[in-house]
Amino acid sequence: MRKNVGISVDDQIEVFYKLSQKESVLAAVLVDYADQVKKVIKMPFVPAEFMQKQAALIGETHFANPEDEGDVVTLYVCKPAASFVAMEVQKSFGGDASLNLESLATVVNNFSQAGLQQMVSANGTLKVTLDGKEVALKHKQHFYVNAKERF
Amino acid sequence: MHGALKIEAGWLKVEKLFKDKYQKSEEYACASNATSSVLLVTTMDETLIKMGHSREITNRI
Repeated sequence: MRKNVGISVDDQIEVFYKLSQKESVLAAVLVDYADQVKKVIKMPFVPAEFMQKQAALIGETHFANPEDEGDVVTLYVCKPAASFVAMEVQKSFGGDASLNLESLATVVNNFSQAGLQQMVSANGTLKVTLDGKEVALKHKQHFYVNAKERF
Repeated sequence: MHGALKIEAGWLKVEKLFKDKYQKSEEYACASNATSSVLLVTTMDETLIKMGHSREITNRI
């Protein structure tokens, strides 16, 4: 797929996978070999539940088990995006009903990856203002610059 | 020498063959010559099937 969408091996991408069946041959394959796939593609290879809604999708493909057409894994290739730890954000700011995680993620993902990296390297905290409210997000607690850093 | 007979160079051809048990088996594939012998187990087990699927998934990316 990388060739079809014009991505070279060195381009940074994040690959997410989604299974059609929770208990299937392909599900077992990914339990045993997801790390191996990650090692070969040299990019993050993560379940789709960790895919950010703001992630820019580059391409999508799938693989079906030849023995069972209903057993399919869909692969999403995305540009790197800040990865939020929803539970941690909820824990820290959950009491604030006006704080919308999606909006927060959108604001953070408006920064370039390089810019975001530079900001967190400087002080480890990213302060963003959302709906007039300042939120201090802690790097590697509330969010990661990208999936590669997180996984 | 073989008894009184002196065997000259080029007279003999040495060939190694797997037993029929392996040559005709559907579980194995084999080939050999004078210097090398190769026997492959061709039956697929769960691990091999999983590895194959894993490679297919990798190739899709």
